[in-house]
Amino acid sequence: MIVKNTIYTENEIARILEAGERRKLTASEKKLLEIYDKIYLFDGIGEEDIIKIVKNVSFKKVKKGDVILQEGEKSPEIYFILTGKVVVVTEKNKIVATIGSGYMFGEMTFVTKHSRSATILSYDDRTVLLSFEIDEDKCSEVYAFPFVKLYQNIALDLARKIEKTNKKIKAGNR
Amino acid sequence: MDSEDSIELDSEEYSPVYFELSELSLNFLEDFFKNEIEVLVFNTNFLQNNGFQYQKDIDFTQLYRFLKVEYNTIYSIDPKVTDALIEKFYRDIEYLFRFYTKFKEKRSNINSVYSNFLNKNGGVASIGQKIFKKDLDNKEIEELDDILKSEFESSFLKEYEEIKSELKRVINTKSYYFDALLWKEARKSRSINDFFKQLVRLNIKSSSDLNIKLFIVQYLNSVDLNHVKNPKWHDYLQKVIKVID
Repeated sequence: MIVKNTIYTENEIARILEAGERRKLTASEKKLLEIYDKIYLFDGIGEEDIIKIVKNVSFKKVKKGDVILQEGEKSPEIYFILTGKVVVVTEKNKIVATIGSGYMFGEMTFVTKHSRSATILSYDDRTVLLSFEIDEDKCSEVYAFPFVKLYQNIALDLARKIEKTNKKIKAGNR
Repeated sequence: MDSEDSIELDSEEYSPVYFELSELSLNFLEDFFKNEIEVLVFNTNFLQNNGFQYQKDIDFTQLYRFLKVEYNTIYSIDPKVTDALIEKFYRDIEYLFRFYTKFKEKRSNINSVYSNFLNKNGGVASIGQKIFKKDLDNKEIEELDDILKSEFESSFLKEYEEIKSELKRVINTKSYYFDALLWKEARKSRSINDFFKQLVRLNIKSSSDLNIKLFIVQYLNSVDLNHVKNPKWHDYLQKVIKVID
Protein backbone atom coordinates (compact mmCIF):
# COMPACT_ATOMS: atom_id res chain seq x y z
CA MET A 1 0.00 0.00 0.00
CA ILE A 2 1.34 3.40 -0.96
CA VAL A 3 0.93 6.07 1.69
CA LYS A 4 1.37 9.74 0.90
CA ASN A 5 2.67 11.08 4.20
CA THR A 6 3.88 8.26 6.41
CA ILE A 7 3.83 8.77 10.18
CA TYR A 8 6.49 7.17 12.39
CA THR A 9 6.36 6.54 16.12
CA GLU A 10 9.06 7.91 18.43
CA ASN A 11 10.59 4.45 18.83
CA GLU A 12 10.70 3.93 15.08
CA ILE A 13 12.39 7.29 14.58
CA ALA A 14 14.96 6.40 17.25
CA ARG A 15 15.73 3.11 15.46
CA ILE A 16 16.13 4.85 12.13
CA LEU A 17 18.38 7.57 13.53
CA GLU A 18 20.59 5.06 15.31
CA ALA A 19 21.04 3.04 12.13
CA GLY A 20 22.05 6.14 10.20
CA GLU A 21 24.73 7.29 12.61
CA ARG A 22 27.63 7.93 10.33
CA ARG A 23 30.83 6.35 11.45
CA LYS A 24 33.47 5.35 8.95
CA LEU A 25 35.49 2.35 9.99
CA THR A 26 39.26 2.68 9.99
CA ALA A 27 41.36 0.12 8.11
CA SER A 28 42.31 -1.46 11.45
CA GLU A 29 38.69 -1.69 12.55
CA LYS A 30 37.83 -3.38 9.27
CA LYS A 31 40.64 -5.84 9.81
CA LEU A 32 39.35 -6.52 13.31
CA LEU A 33 35.94 -7.32 11.87
CA GLU A 34 37.50 -9.75 9.43
CA ILE A 35 39.04 -11.79 12.21
CA TYR A 36 36.79 -11.16 15.19
CA ASP A 37 35.29 -14.64 14.97
CA LYS A 38 38.74 -15.99 15.88
CA ILE A 39 38.88 -13.88 19.04
CA TYR A 40 37.15 -15.74 21.86
CA LEU A 41 36.55 -12.46 23.70
CA PHE A 42 33.96 -11.56 21.08
CA ASP A 43 32.09 -14.89 20.97
CA GLY A 44 28.38 -14.21 20.58
CA ILE A 45 28.81 -10.46 20.05
CA GLY A 46 27.71 -8.99 16.73
CA GLU A 47 29.98 -6.85 14.56
CA GLU A 48 27.91 -3.71 15.11
CA ASP A 49 28.33 -4.09 18.86
CA ILE A 50 32.02 -4.91 18.65
CA ILE A 51 32.71 -1.70 16.80
CA LYS A 52 30.82 0.23 19.44
CA ILE A 53 32.71 -1.18 22.39
CA VAL A 54 36.27 -1.23 21.07
CA LYS A 55 38.55 1.75 20.62
CA ASN A 56 42.09 2.56 19.48
CA VAL A 57 42.25 -0.39 17.12
CA SER A 58 45.63 -0.48 15.37
CA PHE A 59 48.24 -2.66 13.71
CA LYS A 60 51.73 -3.08 15.12
CA LYS A 61 54.70 -4.61 13.33
CA VAL A 62 57.42 -5.78 15.71
CA LYS A 63 60.85 -7.30 15.24
CA LYS A 64 62.41 -10.19 17.11
CA GLY A 65 63.30 -9.09 20.64
CA ASP A 66 61.03 -6.03 20.67
CA VAL A 67 59.22 -5.60 23.97
CA ILE A 68 55.49 -5.58 23.45
CA LEU A 69 54.44 -5.58 27.10
CA GLN A 70 56.66 -4.87 30.07
CA GLU A 71 55.98 -6.56 33.40
CA GLY A 72 54.74 -3.98 35.91
CA GLU A 73 53.53 -1.44 33.36
CA LYS A 74 49.94 -0.30 33.32
CA SER A 75 48.43 -0.38 29.86
CA PRO A 76 44.98 -1.28 28.63
CA GLU A 77 45.70 -2.85 25.21
CA ILE A 78 44.63 -6.31 24.20
CA TYR A 79 46.65 -7.98 21.45
CA PHE A 80 45.80 -10.45 18.74
CA ILE A 81 48.68 -12.08 16.84
CA LEU A 82 48.08 -11.90 13.10
CA THR A 83 51.43 -13.38 12.05
CA GLY A 84 54.59 -14.49 13.84
CA LYS A 85 54.85 -15.37 17.51
CA VAL A 86 55.64 -13.85 20.88
CA VAL A 87 57.16 -15.21 24.07
CA VAL A 88 56.24 -14.65 27.70
CA VAL A 89 59.37 -14.14 29.81
CA THR A 90 60.01 -13.89 33.52
CA GLU A 91 62.22 -11.41 35.38
CA LYS A 92 65.20 -13.66 34.80
CA ASN A 93 64.51 -13.67 31.06
CA LYS A 94 63.31 -17.23 31.20
CA ILE A 95 60.78 -18.07 28.48
CA VAL A 96 57.71 -19.54 30.15
CA ALA A 97 55.33 -19.64 27.21
CA THR A 98 55.11 -19.07 23.47
CA ILE A 99 52.02 -17.65 21.83
CA GLY A 100 51.53 -18.03 18.07
CA SER A 101 49.38 -16.44 15.40
CA GLY A 102 45.65 -16.65 15.89
CA TYR A 103 45.95 -16.20 19.65
CA MET A 104 45.62 -13.21 21.91
CA PHE A 105 47.20 -11.85 25.05
CA GLY A 106 46.84 -8.95 27.42
CA GLU A 107 43.12 -9.38 27.98
CA MET A 108 43.31 -10.11 31.72
CA THR A 109 44.26 -6.54 32.55
CA PHE A 110 40.84 -5.53 31.29
CA VAL A 111 39.32 -7.41 34.22
CA THR A 112 41.92 -7.06 36.96
CA LYS A 113 43.08 -3.51 36.20
CA HIS A 114 46.43 -4.62 37.63
CA SER A 115 49.73 -3.87 36.01
CA ARG A 116 51.09 -6.40 33.51
CA SER A 117 52.10 -9.64 35.17
CA ALA A 118 54.75 -10.64 32.63
CA THR A 119 56.93 -9.25 29.88
CA ILE A 120 56.07 -10.20 26.32
CA LEU A 121 58.64 -10.06 23.54
CA SER A 122 58.37 -10.67 19.85
CA TYR A 123 60.02 -13.93 18.85
CA ASP A 124 59.84 -13.34 15.16
CA ASP A 125 60.93 -10.62 12.73
CA ARG A 126 57.58 -10.74 11.01
CA THR A 127 55.27 -10.45 13.97
CA VAL A 128 52.17 -8.41 13.19
CA LEU A 129 49.76 -7.61 15.98
CA LEU A 130 46.34 -6.12 16.06
CA SER A 131 45.83 -4.19 19.26
CA PHE A 132 42.68 -2.68 20.66
CA GLU A 133 41.13 -1.49 23.89
CA ILE A 134 37.71 -2.10 25.32
CA ASP A 135 35.97 1.23 25.74
CA GLU A 136 34.72 0.94 29.29
CA ASP A 137 33.00 4.32 29.10
CA LYS A 138 30.45 2.50 26.96
CA CYS A 139 29.74 0.01 29.74
CA SER A 140 26.23 1.22 30.48
CA GLU A 141 22.69 -0.02 30.04
CA VAL A 142 22.83 0.83 26.35
CA TYR A 143 25.61 -1.66 25.69
CA ALA A 144 24.74 -4.03 28.50
CA PHE A 145 24.48 -7.05 26.23
CA PRO A 146 27.94 -6.95 24.63
CA PHE A 147 29.59 -6.23 27.97
CA VAL A 148 27.78 -9.12 29.67
CA LYS A 149 28.94 -11.39 26.85
CA LEU A 150 32.48 -10.03 27.12
CA TYR A 151 32.72 -10.77 30.85
CA GLN A 152 31.06 -14.14 30.30
CA ASN A 153 33.69 -15.03 27.67
CA ILE A 154 36.55 -14.00 29.95
CA ALA A 155 35.04 -15.93 32.87
CA LEU A 156 34.71 -18.99 30.66
CA ASP A 157 38.31 -18.69 29.51
CA LEU A 158 39.55 -18.30 33.09
CA ALA A 159 37.53 -21.32 34.18
CA ARG A 160 39.11 -23.39 31.37
CA LYS A 161 42.59 -22.24 32.37
CA ILE A 162 41.94 -23.17 36.01
CA GLU A 163 40.63 -26.56 34.90
CA LYS A 164 43.77 -27.08 32.82
CA THR A 165 46.02 -26.06 35.72
CA ASN A 166 44.13 -28.36 38.09
CA LYS A 167 44.63 -31.25 35.70
CA LYS A 168 48.35 -30.49 35.51
CA ILE A 169 48.59 -30.32 39.31
CA LYS A 170 46.68 -33.61 39.65
CA ALA A 171 48.92 -35.23 37.05
CA GLY A 172 51.98 -33.91 38.90
CA ASN A 173 50.73 -35.31 42.20
CA ARG A 174 50.31 -38.79 40.81
CA MET B 1 -4.10 53.95 -28.60
CA ASP B 2 -1.68 56.87 -28.85
CA SER B 3 1.95 56.80 -27.87
CA GLU B 4 1.31 58.33 -24.41
CA ASP B 5 -1.16 55.57 -23.59
CA SER B 6 0.93 52.76 -25.10
CA ILE B 7 1.63 49.85 -22.78
CA GLU B 8 5.10 49.54 -21.27
CA LEU B 9 6.36 46.23 -22.47
CA ASP B 10 10.05 46.95 -22.28
CA SER B 11 12.33 44.50 -20.59
CA GLU B 12 12.52 46.29 -17.27
CA GLU B 13 12.29 43.36 -14.94
CA TYR B 14 11.01 45.24 -11.93
CA SER B 15 8.46 47.44 -13.67
CA PRO B 16 4.90 47.29 -12.23
CA VAL B 17 3.77 45.44 -15.35
CA TYR B 18 6.32 42.70 -14.87
CA PHE B 19 5.48 42.57 -11.21
CA GLU B 20 1.83 41.91 -12.03
CA LEU B 21 2.71 39.29 -14.62
CA SER B 22 4.97 37.60 -12.16
CA GLU B 23 2.26 37.66 -9.50
CA LEU B 24 -0.15 35.98 -11.91
CA SER B 25 2.39 33.26 -12.74
CA LEU B 26 3.29 32.63 -9.13
CA ASN B 27 -0.33 32.37 -8.01
CA PHE B 28 -0.95 29.83 -10.71
CA LEU B 29 2.25 27.87 -9.97
CA GLU B 30 1.52 27.76 -6.27
CA ASP B 31 -1.66 25.95 -7.10
CA PHE B 32 -0.02 23.88 -9.84
CA PHE B 33 2.68 22.59 -7.45
CA LYS B 34 0.33 22.41 -4.45
CA ASN B 35 0.80 18.68 -3.99
CA GLU B 36 4.59 18.88 -4.17
CA ILE B 37 4.68 21.72 -1.67
CA GLU B 38 2.48 19.75 0.72
CA VAL B 39 4.73 16.67 0.53
CA LEU B 40 7.82 18.83 0.92
CA VAL B 41 6.53 20.70 3.95
CA PHE B 42 5.49 17.44 5.61
CA ASN B 43 8.80 15.70 5.00
CA THR B 44 11.02 18.67 5.73
CA ASN B 45 9.27 19.17 9.06
CA PHE B 46 9.63 15.48 9.81
CA LEU B 47 13.36 15.45 9.10
CA GLN B 48 14.13 18.72 10.84
CA ASN B 49 12.00 18.15 13.92
CA ASN B 50 13.45 14.71 14.57
CA GLY B 51 17.15 15.45 14.24
CA PHE B 52 17.85 13.81 10.88
CA GLN B 53 21.00 14.99 9.16
CA TYR B 54 20.60 15.96 5.55
CA GLN B 55 22.69 13.74 3.31
CA LYS B 56 24.68 15.14 0.41
CA ASP B 57 27.28 12.49 -0.42
CA ILE B 58 25.11 10.09 -2.38
CA ASP B 59 22.40 10.93 -4.88
CA PHE B 60 19.93 8.15 -4.24
CA THR B 61 17.56 9.54 -6.87
CA GLN B 62 20.00 7.89 -9.31
CA LEU B 63 20.17 4.68 -7.31
CA TYR B 64 16.53 3.82 -6.81
CA ARG B 65 16.74 0.56 -8.78
CA PHE B 66 19.53 -0.62 -6.46
CA LEU B 67 17.50 0.20 -3.36
CA LYS B 68 14.65 -1.85 -4.82
CA VAL B 69 16.89 -4.76 -5.72
CA GLU B 70 18.59 -4.85 -2.34
CA TYR B 71 15.27 -4.69 -0.49
CA ASN B 72 13.81 -7.51 -2.60
CA THR B 73 16.98 -9.60 -2.39
CA ILE B 74 17.20 -9.28 1.38
CA TYR B 75 13.50 -10.04 1.72
CA SER B 76 13.81 -13.15 -0.44
CA ILE B 77 16.80 -14.48 1.53
CA ASP B 78 15.52 -13.72 5.01
CA PRO B 79 12.03 -12.18 5.23
CA LYS B 80 12.46 -11.70 8.98
CA VAL B 81 14.94 -8.88 8.31
CA THR B 82 12.38 -6.68 6.62
CA ASP B 83 10.26 -6.13 9.70
CA ALA B 84 7.24 -3.81 9.99
CA LEU B 85 9.32 -0.63 10.28
CA ILE B 86 11.58 -1.48 7.34
CA GLU B 87 8.59 -2.30 5.19
CA LYS B 88 6.81 0.91 6.18
CA PHE B 89 9.96 2.92 5.50
CA TYR B 90 10.42 1.20 2.14
CA ARG B 91 6.85 2.02 1.11
CA ASP B 92 7.39 5.62 2.18
CA ILE B 93 10.49 5.89 -0.01
CA GLU B 94 8.81 4.06 -2.85
CA TYR B 95 6.05 6.65 -2.74
CA LEU B 96 8.56 9.51 -2.75
CA PHE B 97 10.44 8.11 -5.73
CA ARG B 98 7.23 7.69 -7.74
CA PHE B 99 6.16 11.14 -6.69
CA TYR B 100 9.51 12.57 -7.79
CA THR B 101 9.28 10.87 -11.20
CA LYS B 102 5.77 12.23 -11.74
CA PHE B 103 6.89 15.66 -10.65
CA LYS B 104 9.72 15.64 -13.21
CA GLU B 105 7.22 14.89 -15.97
CA LYS B 106 5.68 18.28 -15.32
CA ARG B 107 8.84 19.88 -16.66
CA SER B 108 8.36 18.41 -20.15
CA ASN B 109 4.78 19.69 -20.42
CA ILE B 110 5.61 23.33 -19.94
CA ASN B 111 3.71 24.45 -23.08
CA SER B 112 0.49 22.81 -22.02
CA VAL B 113 0.95 24.21 -18.51
CA TYR B 114 1.26 27.66 -20.04
CA SER B 115 -1.98 27.08 -21.99
CA ASN B 116 -3.71 26.08 -18.73
CA PHE B 117 -2.37 29.21 -17.12
CA LEU B 118 -3.83 31.34 -19.93
CA ASN B 119 -7.17 29.53 -19.80
CA LYS B 120 -7.39 29.94 -16.07
CA ASN B 121 -6.87 33.67 -16.48
CA GLY B 122 -9.22 34.07 -19.46
CA GLY B 123 -6.53 34.28 -22.18
CA VAL B 124 -3.91 36.87 -23.12
CA ALA B 125 -6.44 39.57 -24.04
CA SER B 126 -8.19 39.28 -20.71
CA ILE B 127 -4.88 39.37 -18.80
CA GLY B 128 -3.87 42.49 -20.79
CA GLN B 129 -7.22 44.06 -19.96
CA LYS B 130 -6.71 43.37 -16.24
CA ILE B 131 -3.18 44.75 -16.17
CA PHE B 132 -3.55 47.78 -18.42
CA LYS B 133 -7.21 48.50 -17.70
CA LYS B 134 -7.96 48.76 -21.43
CA ASP B 135 -8.44 46.56 -24.48
CA LEU B 136 -5.27 45.69 -26.34
CA ASP B 137 -5.04 45.46 -30.13
CA ASN B 138 -3.87 42.29 -31.85
CA LYS B 139 -0.27 43.42 -32.13
CA GLU B 140 -0.14 44.28 -28.46
CA ILE B 141 -1.78 40.98 -27.53
CA GLU B 142 0.86 39.14 -29.53
CA GLU B 143 3.58 41.17 -27.88
CA LEU B 144 2.10 40.53 -24.44
CA ASP B 145 1.80 36.82 -25.19
CA ASP B 146 5.56 36.64 -25.86
CA ILE B 147 6.43 38.49 -22.68
CA LEU B 148 3.89 36.54 -20.68
CA LYS B 149 5.20 33.23 -21.95
CA SER B 150 8.77 34.14 -21.23
CA GLU B 151 7.86 35.44 -17.76
CA PHE B 152 5.77 32.35 -17.05
CA GLU B 153 8.52 29.98 -18.19
CA SER B 154 11.12 31.68 -16.09
CA SER B 155 8.86 31.58 -12.99
CA PHE B 156 7.97 27.97 -13.73
CA LEU B 157 11.57 26.86 -14.08
CA LYS B 158 12.64 28.71 -10.97
CA GLU B 159 9.85 27.13 -8.93
CA TYR B 160 10.43 23.73 -10.52
CA GLU B 161 14.17 23.73 -9.79
CA GLU B 162 13.63 24.82 -6.19
CA ILE B 163 11.09 22.06 -5.56
CA LYS B 164 13.27 19.53 -7.38
CA SER B 165 16.28 20.33 -5.25
CA GLU B 166 14.26 20.19 -2.01
CA LEU B 167 12.59 16.93 -3.02
CA LYS B 168 15.96 15.40 -3.84
CA ARG B 169 17.26 16.44 -0.46
CA VAL B 170 14.33 14.77 1.29
CA ILE B 171 14.57 11.62 -0.84
CA ASN B 172 18.34 11.34 -0.45
CA THR B 173 18.16 11.77 3.30
CA LYS B 174 15.33 9.29 3.78
CA SER B 175 16.98 6.82 1.40
CA TYR B 176 20.29 7.07 3.22
CA TYR B 177 18.63 6.24 6.55
CA PHE B 178 16.55 3.49 4.97
CA ASP B 179 19.63 1.89 3.41
CA ALA B 180 21.50 2.11 6.72
CA LEU B 181 18.61 0.55 8.67
CA LEU B 182 18.06 -2.21 6.12
CA TRP B 183 21.72 -3.29 6.15
CA LYS B 184 22.05 -2.90 9.89
CA GLU B 185 19.31 -5.49 10.31
CA ALA B 186 20.50 -7.61 7.37
CA ARG B 187 24.02 -7.92 8.83
CA LYS B 188 22.54 -9.62 11.89
CA SER B 189 21.08 -12.38 9.75
CA ARG B 190 23.13 -15.53 9.34
CA SER B 191 21.39 -16.43 6.06
CA ILE B 192 22.22 -13.03 4.58
CA ASN B 193 25.85 -13.28 5.69
CA ASP B 194 26.14 -16.83 4.36
CA PHE B 195 24.49 -15.90 1.07
CA PHE B 196 26.80 -13.02 0.25
CA LYS B 197 29.96 -14.50 1.70
CA GLN B 198 29.64 -17.57 -0.51
CA LEU B 199 29.70 -15.34 -3.60
CA VAL B 200 33.47 -15.52 -3.82
CA ARG B 201 33.81 -12.93 -6.56
CA LEU B 202 32.28 -10.30 -4.29
CA ASN B 203 35.21 -10.81 -1.92
CA ILE B 204 33.28 -10.12 1.27
CA LYS B 205 35.60 -10.31 4.20
CA SER B 206 33.28 -9.14 6.92
CA SER B 207 29.65 -8.22 7.18
CA SER B 208 30.63 -4.54 7.27
CA ASP B 209 31.21 -5.02 3.53
CA LEU B 210 27.52 -5.78 3.10
CA ASN B 211 25.93 -2.65 1.65
CA ILE B 212 24.36 -1.19 -1.48
CA LYS B 213 27.81 -1.04 -3.10
CA LEU B 214 27.62 -4.81 -3.66
CA PHE B 215 24.70 -4.41 -6.01
CA ILE B 216 26.22 -1.49 -7.87
CA VAL B 217 29.55 -3.29 -8.33
CA GLN B 218 27.77 -6.43 -9.45
CA TYR B 219 25.76 -4.42 -11.96
CA LEU B 220 28.82 -2.58 -13.31
CA ASN B 221 30.62 -5.89 -13.69
CA SER B 222 27.76 -7.23 -15.74
CA VAL B 223 27.50 -4.44 -18.34
CA ASP B 224 29.73 -3.50 -21.22
CA LEU B 225 30.56 0.07 -20.28
CA ASN B 226 31.51 0.89 -23.87
CA HIS B 227 27.98 0.23 -25.05
CA VAL B 228 25.72 1.71 -22.41
CA LYS B 229 22.67 3.83 -23.12
CA ASN B 230 23.30 6.30 -20.35
CA PRO B 231 27.04 6.84 -19.91
CA LYS B 232 26.53 9.74 -17.47
CA TRP B 233 24.65 7.48 -15.09
CA HIS B 234 27.33 4.82 -15.34
CA ASP B 235 29.99 7.44 -14.66
CA TYR B 236 28.04 8.41 -11.58
CA LEU B 237 27.87 4.78 -10.45
CA GLN B 238 31.64 4.48 -10.82
CA LYS B 239 32.07 7.57 -8.68
CA VAL B 240 29.54 6.60 -6.06
CA ILE B 241 31.12 3.23 -5.28
CA LYS B 242 34.21 5.13 -4.16
CA VAL B 243 32.11 7.20 -1.75
CA ILE B 244 30.17 4.32 -0.23
CA ASP B 245 32.00 2.64 2.57
